[in-house]
Amino acid sequence: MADWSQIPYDIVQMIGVRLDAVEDFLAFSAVCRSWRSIYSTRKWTPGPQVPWLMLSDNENSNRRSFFSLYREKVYELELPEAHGRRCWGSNDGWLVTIGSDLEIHLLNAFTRVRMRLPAPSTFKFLFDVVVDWQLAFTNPGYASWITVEESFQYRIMDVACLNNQIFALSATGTLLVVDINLQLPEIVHLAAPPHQWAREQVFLVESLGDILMIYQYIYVGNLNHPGEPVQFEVFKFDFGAREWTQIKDLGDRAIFVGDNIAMSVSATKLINYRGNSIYFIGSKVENWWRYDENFMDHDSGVYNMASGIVEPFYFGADYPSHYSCPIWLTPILC
Amino acid sequence: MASKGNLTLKSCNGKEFIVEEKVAVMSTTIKNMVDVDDSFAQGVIPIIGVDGKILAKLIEYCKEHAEADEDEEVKSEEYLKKFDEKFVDELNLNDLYDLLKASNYLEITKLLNLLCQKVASMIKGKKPEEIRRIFNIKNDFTPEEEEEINRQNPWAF
Repeated sequence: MADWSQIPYDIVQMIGVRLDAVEDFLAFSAVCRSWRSIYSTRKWTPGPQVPWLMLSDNENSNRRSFFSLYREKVYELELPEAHGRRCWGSNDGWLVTIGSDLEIHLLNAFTRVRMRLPAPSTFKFLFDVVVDWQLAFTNPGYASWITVEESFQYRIMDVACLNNQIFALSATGTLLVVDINLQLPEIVHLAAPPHQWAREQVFLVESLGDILMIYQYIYVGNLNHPGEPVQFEVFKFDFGAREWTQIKDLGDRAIFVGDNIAMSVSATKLINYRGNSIYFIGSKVENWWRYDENFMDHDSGVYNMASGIVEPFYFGADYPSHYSCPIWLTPILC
Repeated sequence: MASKGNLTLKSCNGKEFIVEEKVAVMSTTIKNMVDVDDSFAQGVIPIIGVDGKILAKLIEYCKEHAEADEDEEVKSEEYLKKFDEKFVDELNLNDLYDLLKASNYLEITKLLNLLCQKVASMIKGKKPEEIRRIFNIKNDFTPEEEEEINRQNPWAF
Protein backbone atom coordinates (compact mmCIF):
# COMPACT_ATOMS: atom_id res chain seq x y z
CA MET A 1 0.00 0.00 0.00
CA ALA A 2 1.43 3.34 -1.04
CA ASP A 3 2.35 5.69 1.76
CA TRP A 4 1.76 9.12 0.27
CA SER A 5 3.11 10.92 3.29
CA GLN A 6 6.51 9.52 2.36
CA ILE A 7 6.88 10.86 -1.17
CA PRO A 8 10.28 12.50 -1.67
CA TYR A 9 10.52 16.18 -0.86
CA ASP A 10 11.34 17.24 -4.42
CA ILE A 11 8.08 15.66 -5.57
CA VAL A 12 6.16 17.41 -2.79
CA GLN A 13 7.67 20.64 -4.05
CA MET A 14 6.79 19.90 -7.67
CA ILE A 15 3.18 19.28 -6.68
CA GLY A 16 3.15 22.41 -4.54
CA VAL A 17 4.15 24.76 -7.34
CA ARG A 18 1.34 23.35 -9.44
CA LEU A 19 -1.19 24.62 -6.92
CA ASP A 20 -1.85 28.15 -8.07
CA ALA A 21 -4.31 29.22 -5.42
CA VAL A 22 -3.09 30.11 -1.96
CA GLU A 23 -6.03 28.20 -0.42
CA ASP A 24 -4.93 25.00 -2.15
CA PHE A 25 -1.34 25.46 -1.16
CA LEU A 26 -2.25 25.98 2.49
CA ALA A 27 -4.55 22.94 2.54
CA PHE A 28 -1.87 20.82 0.86
CA SER A 29 0.79 21.89 3.34
CA ALA A 30 -1.52 21.09 6.28
CA VAL A 31 -2.06 17.44 5.38
CA CYS A 32 0.80 15.81 7.25
CA ARG A 33 4.19 16.56 8.75
CA SER A 34 6.29 15.62 5.76
CA TRP A 35 4.18 17.71 3.38
CA ARG A 36 4.32 20.57 5.86
CA SER A 37 8.01 21.01 5.12
CA ILE A 38 7.07 22.88 1.95
CA TYR A 39 5.33 25.52 4.03
CA SER A 40 8.25 25.89 6.38
CA THR A 41 10.74 26.43 3.58
CA ARG A 42 8.30 28.77 1.79
CA LYS A 43 9.42 27.31 -1.48
CA TRP A 44 6.17 28.11 -3.17
CA THR A 45 6.52 29.84 -6.48
CA PRO A 46 3.15 29.34 -8.10
CA GLY A 47 2.19 30.26 -11.62
CA PRO A 48 -0.12 33.14 -12.39
CA GLN A 49 -2.77 33.71 -9.79
CA VAL A 50 -6.09 35.45 -9.84
CA PRO A 51 -5.91 38.37 -7.42
CA TRP A 52 -8.13 38.67 -4.38
CA LEU A 53 -10.28 41.64 -3.68
CA MET A 54 -9.38 43.30 -0.41
CA LEU A 55 -12.60 44.87 0.81
CA SER A 56 -13.02 48.24 2.47
CA ASP A 57 -11.80 49.05 5.93
CA ASN A 58 -14.26 48.56 8.75
CA GLU A 59 -13.97 51.37 11.25
CA ASN A 60 -14.65 49.11 14.21
CA SER A 61 -12.43 46.19 13.42
CA ASN A 62 -8.81 45.21 13.01
CA ARG A 63 -9.90 42.45 10.69
CA ARG A 64 -10.10 42.84 6.96
CA SER A 65 -12.27 40.90 4.55
CA PHE A 66 -10.87 39.46 1.36
CA PHE A 67 -12.89 38.02 -1.48
CA SER A 68 -11.40 35.09 -3.37
CA LEU A 69 -12.78 34.77 -6.90
CA TYR A 70 -11.37 31.27 -7.05
CA ARG A 71 -13.37 29.94 -4.12
CA GLU A 72 -16.06 32.62 -4.34
CA LYS A 73 -15.65 33.09 -0.66
CA VAL A 74 -14.93 35.91 1.75
CA TYR A 75 -12.10 35.40 4.23
CA GLU A 76 -11.41 37.50 7.27
CA LEU A 77 -7.79 38.18 8.07
CA GLU A 78 -6.41 39.84 11.15
CA LEU A 79 -4.71 42.92 9.76
CA PRO A 80 -4.42 45.78 12.24
CA GLU A 81 -1.48 47.19 10.25
CA ALA A 82 -3.87 48.25 7.49
CA HIS A 83 -6.62 49.54 9.74
CA GLY A 84 -7.36 53.23 9.33
CA ARG A 85 -4.79 53.58 6.57
CA ARG A 86 -5.12 54.25 2.87
CA CYS A 87 -4.00 51.15 0.98
CA TRP A 88 -3.01 50.34 -2.57
CA GLY A 89 -2.78 46.80 -3.90
CA SER A 90 -0.33 45.01 -6.16
CA ASN A 91 0.18 41.75 -8.00
CA ASP A 92 2.97 40.57 -5.75
CA GLY A 93 1.29 40.34 -2.36
CA TRP A 94 2.40 43.73 -1.10
CA LEU A 95 0.17 46.56 -0.07
CA VAL A 96 1.35 50.11 0.15
CA THR A 97 -0.18 51.74 3.21
CA ILE A 98 -0.15 55.31 4.36
CA GLY A 99 -1.77 56.78 7.44
CA SER A 100 -2.49 60.20 8.84
CA ASP A 101 0.88 59.84 10.61
CA LEU A 102 2.34 60.05 7.06
CA GLU A 103 4.21 56.82 7.59
CA ILE A 104 4.41 54.67 4.46
CA HIS A 105 4.84 50.93 4.63
CA LEU A 106 4.96 47.95 2.38
CA LEU A 107 2.76 45.33 4.01
CA ASN A 108 2.26 41.70 3.07
CA ALA A 109 -1.36 41.14 4.03
CA PHE A 110 -0.89 37.39 4.29
CA THR A 111 2.28 37.11 6.34
CA ARG A 112 1.92 40.56 7.94
CA VAL A 113 5.56 41.26 7.20
CA ARG A 114 5.97 45.02 7.09
CA MET A 115 8.73 47.21 5.68
CA ARG A 116 8.97 50.87 6.28
CA LEU A 117 9.55 53.20 3.38
CA PRO A 118 11.11 56.62 3.86
CA ALA A 119 8.77 59.19 5.32
CA PRO A 120 7.24 61.47 2.73
CA SER A 121 8.15 64.47 4.88
CA THR A 122 11.24 64.65 2.73
CA PHE A 123 8.87 66.09 0.15
CA LYS A 124 7.62 69.49 1.01
CA PHE A 125 4.00 68.48 1.27
CA LEU A 126 2.70 65.01 0.85
CA PHE A 127 -0.50 66.07 -0.80
CA ASP A 128 1.31 68.13 -3.36
CA VAL A 129 2.68 64.89 -4.61
CA VAL A 130 -0.69 63.27 -4.89
CA VAL A 131 -2.34 66.28 -6.46
CA ASP A 132 0.49 67.09 -8.83
CA TRP A 133 0.96 63.51 -9.96
CA GLN A 134 4.66 63.73 -9.73
CA LEU A 135 6.77 60.62 -9.98
CA ALA A 136 9.03 59.60 -7.12
CA PHE A 137 10.57 56.29 -6.22
CA THR A 138 12.26 54.62 -3.33
CA ASN A 139 13.31 51.28 -1.91
CA PRO A 140 13.10 49.86 1.60
CA GLY A 141 16.41 50.98 3.03
CA TYR A 142 16.65 54.22 1.08
CA ALA A 143 16.87 57.26 3.29
CA SER A 144 14.41 59.21 1.21
CA TRP A 145 12.33 59.33 -1.92
CA ILE A 146 13.96 60.31 -5.17
CA THR A 147 11.76 62.65 -7.13
CA VAL A 148 11.89 62.60 -10.89
CA GLU A 149 11.98 66.37 -11.19
CA GLU A 150 10.99 66.50 -14.82
CA SER A 151 7.84 64.45 -14.18
CA PHE A 152 6.17 67.47 -12.60
CA GLN A 153 5.35 68.99 -15.96
CA TYR A 154 3.77 65.79 -17.30
CA ARG A 155 1.29 65.09 -14.53
CA ILE A 156 1.92 61.35 -14.48
CA MET A 157 -1.30 59.33 -14.40
CA ASP A 158 -0.11 55.76 -14.29
CA VAL A 159 3.05 53.70 -14.54
CA ALA A 160 3.92 50.14 -15.54
CA CYS A 161 7.15 48.17 -15.36
CA LEU A 162 8.54 46.08 -18.18
CA ASN A 163 12.08 44.69 -18.48
CA ASN A 164 13.30 46.89 -15.62
CA GLN A 165 12.05 49.99 -17.37
CA ILE A 166 9.36 52.28 -16.09
CA PHE A 167 6.70 53.36 -18.53
CA ALA A 168 4.53 56.30 -17.61
CA LEU A 169 1.49 57.96 -19.02
CA SER A 170 1.18 61.73 -18.94
CA ALA A 171 -2.09 63.55 -18.41
CA THR A 172 -2.22 64.33 -22.11
CA GLY A 173 -1.74 60.70 -23.02
CA THR A 174 1.91 60.72 -24.00
CA LEU A 175 3.72 57.48 -23.29
CA LEU A 176 7.02 58.13 -21.56
CA VAL A 177 9.86 55.91 -20.53
CA VAL A 178 11.62 56.87 -17.34
CA ASP A 179 15.18 55.79 -16.74
CA ILE A 180 15.70 55.77 -13.00
CA ASN A 181 19.10 54.13 -13.15
CA LEU A 182 20.77 57.40 -14.03
CA GLN A 183 21.94 59.80 -11.40
CA LEU A 184 19.48 62.32 -12.74
CA PRO A 185 16.47 60.26 -13.83
CA GLU A 186 15.59 60.93 -17.43
CA ILE A 187 12.27 61.00 -19.25
CA VAL A 188 12.04 60.09 -22.91
CA HIS A 189 8.91 60.53 -25.08
CA LEU A 190 7.82 57.33 -26.77
CA ALA A 191 4.47 57.98 -28.40
CA ALA A 192 1.39 60.13 -28.65
CA PRO A 193 -1.93 58.67 -27.54
CA PRO A 194 -4.10 56.76 -30.03
CA HIS A 195 -6.75 58.56 -32.10
CA GLN A 196 -8.84 59.70 -29.18
CA TRP A 197 -7.68 60.41 -25.69
CA ALA A 198 -9.98 59.34 -22.88
CA ARG A 199 -9.20 61.52 -19.97
CA GLU A 200 -11.59 59.90 -17.61
CA GLN A 201 -10.00 56.66 -16.51
CA VAL A 202 -6.85 55.24 -18.06
CA PHE A 203 -4.64 52.39 -16.98
CA LEU A 204 -1.23 51.25 -18.09
CA VAL A 205 -0.42 47.59 -17.57
CA GLU A 206 2.32 45.13 -18.42
CA SER A 207 0.91 41.94 -19.87
CA LEU A 208 2.91 39.03 -21.30
CA GLY A 209 5.73 41.34 -22.28
CA ASP A 210 3.38 43.89 -23.83
CA ILE A 211 2.47 47.34 -22.59
CA LEU A 212 -1.27 47.80 -22.74
CA MET A 213 -3.29 50.94 -22.23
CA ILE A 214 -6.86 50.59 -21.10
CA TYR A 215 -9.54 53.20 -21.44
CA GLN A 216 -12.45 52.82 -19.10
CA TYR A 217 -15.67 54.63 -19.91
CA ILE A 218 -17.97 54.92 -16.94
CA TYR A 219 -21.63 55.72 -17.45
CA VAL A 220 -22.79 54.52 -14.04
CA GLY A 221 -25.73 56.65 -12.97
CA ASN A 222 -26.00 58.22 -16.42
CA LEU A 223 -29.60 57.51 -17.35
CA ASN A 224 -29.15 58.88 -20.88
CA HIS A 225 -26.58 56.29 -21.75
CA PRO A 226 -28.02 53.18 -23.36
CA GLY A 227 -26.25 49.85 -22.96
CA GLU A 228 -23.63 48.80 -20.48
CA PRO A 229 -22.74 51.23 -17.68
CA VAL A 230 -19.03 50.53 -18.10
CA GLN A 231 -17.10 49.97 -21.30
CA PHE A 232 -13.46 49.46 -22.17
CA GLU A 233 -11.02 49.88 -25.01
CA VAL A 234 -7.61 48.25 -25.02
CA PHE A 235 -4.53 49.37 -26.93
CA LYS A 236 -1.24 47.58 -27.31
CA PHE A 237 1.99 49.46 -27.78
CA ASP A 238 3.92 48.50 -30.87
CA PHE A 239 7.55 49.10 -29.96
CA GLY A 240 8.71 48.80 -33.58
CA ALA A 241 6.32 51.34 -35.06
CA ARG A 242 6.18 53.33 -31.82
CA GLU A 243 2.44 53.55 -31.90
CA TRP A 244 -0.66 52.17 -30.22
CA THR A 245 -2.94 49.66 -31.92
CA GLN A 246 -6.34 48.83 -30.62
CA ILE A 247 -6.88 45.18 -29.76
CA LYS A 248 -10.26 43.50 -29.49
CA ASP A 249 -9.13 40.17 -28.19
CA LEU A 250 -7.10 39.52 -25.05
CA GLY A 251 -6.79 35.78 -25.67
CA ASP A 252 -6.70 33.91 -22.39
CA ARG A 253 -5.64 37.03 -20.52
CA ALA A 254 -7.83 38.69 -17.96
CA ILE A 255 -7.07 42.18 -16.76
CA PHE A 256 -7.98 43.44 -13.33
CA VAL A 257 -8.43 47.17 -12.91
CA GLY A 258 -9.33 49.21 -9.89
CA ASP A 259 -8.17 51.95 -7.60
CA ASN A 260 -5.28 53.25 -9.72
CA ILE A 261 -3.99 49.80 -10.46
CA ALA A 262 -4.18 47.35 -13.31
CA MET A 263 -2.79 43.83 -13.44
CA SER A 264 -2.90 41.11 -16.00
CA VAL A 265 -3.26 37.37 -15.48
CA SER A 266 -2.86 34.81 -18.20
CA ALA A 267 -3.72 31.17 -17.81
CA THR A 268 -6.42 28.86 -18.97
CA LYS A 269 -5.96 26.34 -16.21
CA LEU A 270 -7.21 28.61 -13.47
CA ILE A 271 -10.62 27.79 -12.12
CA ASN A 272 -13.42 30.36 -11.83
CA TYR A 273 -11.72 32.82 -14.02
CA ARG A 274 -12.66 34.11 -17.43
CA GLY A 275 -10.11 34.97 -20.10
CA ASN A 276 -10.58 37.77 -22.63
CA SER A 277 -12.22 39.80 -19.88
CA ILE A 278 -11.64 42.86 -17.77
CA TYR A 279 -12.54 42.63 -14.10
CA PHE A 280 -13.19 46.07 -12.75
CA ILE A 281 -13.92 47.57 -9.41
CA GLY A 282 -14.71 51.22 -8.97
CA SER A 283 -12.97 53.51 -6.58
CA LYS A 284 -15.38 56.38 -6.70
CA VAL A 285 -17.43 56.40 -3.55
CA GLU A 286 -20.15 58.43 -5.23
CA ASN A 287 -20.85 55.50 -7.52
CA TRP A 288 -21.57 53.20 -4.63
CA TRP A 289 -24.56 54.88 -3.16
CA ARG A 290 -27.21 52.66 -4.72
CA TYR A 291 -25.25 49.54 -4.07
CA ASP A 292 -27.72 47.98 -1.63
CA GLU A 293 -30.76 48.68 -3.76
CA ASN A 294 -29.58 47.57 -7.13
CA PHE A 295 -26.47 45.55 -7.58
CA MET A 296 -25.94 46.48 -11.22
CA ASP A 297 -25.63 50.13 -10.41
CA HIS A 298 -22.53 49.47 -8.48
CA ASP A 299 -19.45 49.99 -10.63
CA SER A 300 -17.91 46.57 -10.51
CA GLY A 301 -18.20 43.63 -12.83
CA VAL A 302 -16.59 41.54 -15.52
CA TYR A 303 -16.45 43.08 -18.98
CA ASN A 304 -16.39 40.54 -21.77
CA MET A 305 -14.15 41.83 -24.58
CA ALA A 306 -15.88 39.71 -27.23
CA SER A 307 -19.48 40.63 -26.45
CA GLY A 308 -19.01 44.00 -24.75
CA ILE A 309 -21.35 42.81 -22.03
CA VAL A 310 -20.78 43.37 -18.32
CA GLU A 311 -21.61 40.58 -15.91
CA PRO A 312 -21.70 41.17 -12.18
CA PHE A 313 -19.54 39.43 -9.66
CA TYR A 314 -20.84 39.40 -6.17
CA PHE A 315 -18.54 39.71 -3.19
CA GLY A 316 -20.97 40.49 -0.40
CA ALA A 317 -21.62 43.63 1.56
CA ASP A 318 -18.97 46.29 1.49
CA TYR A 319 -18.93 49.83 2.81
CA PRO A 320 -16.29 52.00 1.21
CA SER A 321 -15.29 55.29 2.73
CA HIS A 322 -13.40 58.33 1.56
CA TYR A 323 -10.07 56.63 2.19
CA SER A 324 -10.87 52.97 1.66
CA CYS A 325 -12.46 51.03 -1.18
CA PRO A 326 -12.00 47.47 -2.46
CA ILE A 327 -8.62 46.87 -4.11
CA TRP A 328 -6.98 44.02 -5.99
CA LEU A 329 -4.20 42.15 -4.27
CA THR A 330 -2.49 38.94 -5.30
CA PRO A 331 -1.84 36.66 -2.32
CA ILE A 332 1.81 35.70 -1.88
CA LEU A 333 3.17 33.95 1.19
CA CYS A 334 6.78 35.03 1.15
CA MET B 1 20.77 -10.09 -25.35
CA ALA B 2 19.40 -7.09 -27.16
CA SER B 3 20.25 -6.45 -30.78
CA LYS B 4 21.94 -3.24 -31.86
CA GLY B 5 19.86 -0.14 -31.15
CA ASN B 6 17.95 -1.95 -28.45
CA LEU B 7 18.46 -2.05 -24.70
CA THR B 8 17.38 -4.61 -22.15
CA LEU B 9 15.79 -3.27 -18.98
CA LYS B 10 15.30 -5.55 -16.00
CA SER B 11 12.76 -4.84 -13.28
CA CYS B 12 13.44 -5.51 -9.60
CA ASN B 13 11.30 -8.66 -9.78
CA GLY B 14 13.31 -10.04 -12.69
CA LYS B 15 11.15 -9.17 -15.68
CA GLU B 16 13.12 -8.21 -18.76
CA PHE B 17 12.00 -5.78 -21.44
CA ILE B 18 13.77 -5.23 -24.71
CA VAL B 19 13.19 -1.65 -25.83
CA GLU B 20 14.53 0.63 -28.50
CA GLU B 21 17.32 2.84 -27.26
CA LYS B 22 15.44 6.03 -28.19
CA VAL B 23 12.60 4.88 -25.90
CA ALA B 24 14.87 3.97 -22.99
CA VAL B 25 16.84 7.22 -23.10
CA MET B 26 13.70 9.24 -22.47
CA SER B 27 14.93 8.49 -18.97
CA THR B 28 17.87 10.76 -18.23
CA THR B 29 19.11 8.28 -15.65
CA ILE B 30 19.31 5.48 -18.23
CA LYS B 31 20.78 7.82 -20.81
CA ASN B 32 23.58 8.74 -18.41
CA MET B 33 24.25 5.08 -17.63
CA VAL B 34 24.50 4.20 -21.32
CA ASP B 35 26.61 7.24 -22.14
CA VAL B 36 29.10 6.62 -19.36
CA ASP B 37 29.41 2.87 -19.48
CA ASP B 38 29.19 1.06 -22.80
CA SER B 39 28.67 -2.31 -21.12
CA PHE B 40 25.14 -1.24 -20.18
CA ALA B 41 24.32 -0.83 -23.84
CA GLN B 42 25.42 -4.41 -24.46
CA GLY B 43 24.08 -6.12 -21.38
CA VAL B 44 21.13 -5.80 -19.06
CA ILE B 45 20.26 -2.58 -17.26
CA PRO B 46 18.82 -3.23 -13.82
CA ILE B 47 16.03 -0.82 -12.87
CA ILE B 48 16.27 -0.85 -9.11
CA GLY B 49 13.10 -0.56 -7.07
CA VAL B 50 10.74 -0.66 -10.05
CA ASP B 51 8.66 -3.79 -10.59
CA GLY B 52 7.61 -5.28 -13.91
CA LYS B 53 4.12 -3.83 -13.92
CA ILE B 54 5.35 -0.28 -13.38
CA LEU B 55 8.26 -0.68 -15.76
CA ALA B 56 5.82 -1.81 -18.47
CA LYS B 57 3.77 1.33 -17.85
CA LEU B 58 6.86 3.53 -18.06
CA ILE B 59 7.87 1.91 -21.32
CA GLU B 60 4.37 2.35 -22.74
CA TYR B 61 4.56 6.07 -21.96
CA CYS B 62 8.11 6.57 -23.23
CA LYS B 63 7.38 4.65 -26.43
CA GLU B 64 4.51 6.96 -27.40
CA HIS B 65 6.53 10.08 -26.62
CA ALA B 66 9.74 8.91 -28.29
CA GLU B 67 7.79 8.07 -31.44
CA ALA B 68 6.05 11.44 -31.35
CA ASP B 69 9.37 13.21 -30.99
CA GLU B 70 10.57 11.40 -34.08
CA ASP B 71 7.54 11.85 -36.29
CA GLU B 72 5.08 14.56 -35.44
CA GLU B 73 2.79 13.66 -38.31
CA VAL B 74 1.97 10.19 -37.10
CA LYS B 75 1.62 11.25 -33.47
CA SER B 76 0.47 14.83 -33.30
CA GLU B 77 0.44 17.05 -30.26
CA GLU B 78 -3.27 16.49 -30.00
CA TYR B 79 -2.84 12.74 -30.10
CA LEU B 80 -0.22 12.93 -27.34
CA LYS B 81 -2.44 15.11 -25.20
CA LYS B 82 -5.23 12.57 -25.44
CA PHE B 83 -2.81 9.76 -24.74
CA ASP B 84 -1.50 11.55 -21.65
CA GLU B 85 -5.00 12.19 -20.35
CA LYS B 86 -6.03 8.57 -20.78
CA PHE B 87 -2.74 7.39 -19.33
CA VAL B 88 -3.15 9.25 -16.03
CA ASP B 89 -6.90 8.69 -15.81
CA GLU B 90 -6.50 4.94 -15.86
CA LEU B 91 -4.03 4.85 -12.99
CA ASN B 92 -5.12 3.70 -9.59
CA LEU B 93 -3.70 5.38 -6.52
CA ASN B 94 -0.95 2.80 -5.97
CA ASP B 95 0.23 2.90 -9.57
CA LEU B 96 0.19 6.68 -9.53
CA TYR B 97 2.41 6.62 -6.46
CA ASP B 98 4.81 4.02 -7.86
CA LEU B 99 5.04 5.81 -11.19
CA LEU B 100 5.73 9.14 -9.49
CA LYS B 101 8.62 7.65 -7.56
CA ALA B 102 9.93 5.72 -10.54
CA SER B 103 9.76 8.65 -12.96
CA ASN B 104 11.51 10.80 -10.38
CA TYR B 105 14.28 8.24 -9.91
CA LEU B 106 14.61 7.58 -13.64
CA GLU B 107 14.31 11.30 -14.44
CA ILE B 108 11.59 11.02 -17.05
CA THR B 109 10.79 14.71 -16.80
CA LYS B 110 7.73 14.87 -19.03
CA LEU B 111 6.04 12.04 -17.22
CA LEU B 112 6.98 13.38 -13.82
CA ASN B 113 5.41 16.74 -14.72
CA LEU B 114 2.29 15.01 -15.97
CA LEU B 115 1.92 12.97 -12.78
CA CYS B 116 2.54 15.93 -10.48
CA GLN B 117 -0.10 17.85 -12.41
CA LYS B 118 -2.48 14.96 -11.88
CA VAL B 119 -1.85 14.90 -8.13
CA ALA B 120 -2.25 18.69 -7.96
CA SER B 121 -5.59 18.44 -9.78
CA MET B 122 -6.74 15.89 -7.16
CA ILE B 123 -5.85 18.36 -4.40
CA LYS B 124 -7.36 21.54 -5.84
CA GLY B 125 -10.41 22.83 -4.06
CA LYS B 126 -10.14 20.34 -1.17
CA LYS B 127 -9.69 20.69 2.56
CA PRO B 128 -6.80 18.97 4.37
CA GLU B 129 -9.04 16.22 5.77
CA GLU B 130 -10.46 15.54 2.31
CA ILE B 131 -6.96 15.29 0.86
CA ARG B 132 -5.99 12.87 3.62
CA ARG B 133 -9.00 10.71 2.80
CA ILE B 134 -8.17 10.63 -0.93
CA PHE B 135 -4.53 9.67 -0.39
CA ASN B 136 -5.00 7.52 2.73
CA ILE B 137 -2.77 9.73 4.81
CA LYS B 138 -2.82 9.74 8.59
CA ASN B 139 -2.90 13.08 10.33
CA ASP B 140 0.41 12.89 12.20
CA PHE B 141 0.45 16.41 13.63
CA THR B 142 0.47 16.80 17.38
CA PRO B 143 -2.36 18.95 18.76
CA GLU B 144 0.23 21.68 19.37
CA GLU B 145 1.41 21.57 15.75
CA GLU B 146 -2.16 21.64 14.53
CA GLU B 147 -2.82 24.67 16.65
CA GLU B 148 0.27 26.36 15.23
CA ILE B 149 -0.93 25.70 11.67
CA ASN B 150 -4.30 27.23 12.48
CA ARG B 151 -2.66 30.16 14.15
CA GLN B 152 -0.48 30.94 11.12
CA ASN B 153 -3.36 31.21 8.66
CA PRO B 154 -6.56 30.94 10.69
CA TRP B 155 -8.75 32.12 7.83
CA ALA B 156 -7.76 29.22 5.60
CA PHE B 157 -9.11 26.40 7.76
